[in-house]
Amino acid sequence: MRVLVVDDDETFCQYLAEVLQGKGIHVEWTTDGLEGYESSLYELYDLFILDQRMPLILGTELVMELRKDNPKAKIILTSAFADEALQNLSRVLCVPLLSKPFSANRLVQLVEAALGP
Amino acid sequence: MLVDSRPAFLRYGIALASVAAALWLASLLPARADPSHFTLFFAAVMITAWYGGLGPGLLATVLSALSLDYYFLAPIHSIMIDWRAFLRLSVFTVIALITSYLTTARRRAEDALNKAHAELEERVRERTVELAKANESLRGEIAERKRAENELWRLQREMGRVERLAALGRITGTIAHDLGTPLNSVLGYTQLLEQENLSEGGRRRLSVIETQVQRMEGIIQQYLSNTRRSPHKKQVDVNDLIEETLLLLKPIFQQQGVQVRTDLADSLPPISGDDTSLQRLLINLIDNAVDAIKDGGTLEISSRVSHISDGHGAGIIVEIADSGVGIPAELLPRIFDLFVTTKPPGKGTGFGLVVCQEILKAHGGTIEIRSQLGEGTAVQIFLPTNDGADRMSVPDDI
Repeated sequence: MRVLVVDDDETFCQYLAEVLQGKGIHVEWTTDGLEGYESSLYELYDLFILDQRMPLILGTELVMELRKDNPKAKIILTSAFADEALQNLSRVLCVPLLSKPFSANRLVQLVEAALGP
Repeated sequence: MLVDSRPAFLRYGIALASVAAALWLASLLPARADPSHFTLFFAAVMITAWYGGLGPGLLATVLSALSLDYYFLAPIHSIMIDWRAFLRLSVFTVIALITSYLTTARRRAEDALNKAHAELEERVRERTVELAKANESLRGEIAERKRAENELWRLQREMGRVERLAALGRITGTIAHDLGTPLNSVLGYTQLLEQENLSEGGRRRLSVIETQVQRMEGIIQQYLSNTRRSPHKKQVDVNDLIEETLLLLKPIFQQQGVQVRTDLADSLPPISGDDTSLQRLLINLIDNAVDAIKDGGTLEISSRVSHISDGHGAGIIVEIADSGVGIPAELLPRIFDLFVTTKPPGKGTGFGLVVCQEILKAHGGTIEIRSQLGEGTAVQIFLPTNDGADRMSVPDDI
């Protein structure tokens, strides 16, 4: 299982990687949204965990780009400011939205649900 | 030319009467004609000319001359007189005529003056009335202008308030975002550390870190819930919400020694709204009440269906009354302004009631606050049952 984490906060990327790697999941991460998109073109990932607010590209924009190449891409969106607009947008995009702060258990739960048995 | 308005018979009657009176008075004097007789008739001519005008004056002159000639100038009871008497009578007649003329002229001048005076007074009265009218309309215009100014001032204040709220919403959002992620990392690593083998002391210290980080997150969430747009609306049972909120705040009541009394209506219709923001509304209002109560006091919460006499449509009325310090009368009109607070520095932000008002606006509701300094405050909120759903909107940037 390979997961790509894209979040402009490096420590947070490291934290997510550590939690998921503890569960035996291979995690790569980047703080650059565009680099994350490039990686998705060359590598195969089973799941993407994207932050919504990043300097160069929004998480929801990245969702749409990823879906263009792979309509079945599995994605989880995270945000520290999950307002109504973002909640609606994530519903329309059929992407689960994790509101920061979330516990490690909640993350693992959602990741396992996305990756399936 | 002045016209004497008195009837002619009266004016000429005065001539007859005054000459008759002079004749009677003169008859009381010794029979021989002397200056006293002439003086009496002269007075009669003057009186007649003054009251009757020139014509009656002439008549009085003629009658006086004849009377003097007939009764007082020798030979008596005859119109025949000697030349000396004729001379005296002629002088009397000429002077009486001149006097008659002058008196009449004087009288006319006086009448003209009186009339002019009356006209002037009438014009002054008319102008005064006109001025009063102009004054009245000016006063009306001033009042109208004042009203317009007040309205403008109110709108400007409202605009400033909305702008400040919007700015506050943006700032809160940014802070929440910028702090939320690092706090999530701290909390996450703390939880990871907990899974490792730690000494008793280490575990205790870690627990303190976790509690404090959770507290920081709680503060951020509180600010967010105060400014963020309401995310969900559904059917809400207001009584359930009140009881849930009271349960939530029970530790605070116990700590502050506040007695809570409730009087909730048996069956309330549900309202359409966002339960989280409605609970925020109740928490803010109860929080204010508890802060106002010092050294133990009572907090009364009641709910009921609104009556027509309440002046609202169909809906629910919730009243939160405290026996606290009350709000100074001069502060009451500004109580919904941002950053206005009655609480001591560091305690109140002047933010809570603003949020309450925004939440109520979003639900089509209203809020009224009555307060008596030293006796307490009663807050009454109205939430409509039917049209709340239609009005469920908050500006995006608040």
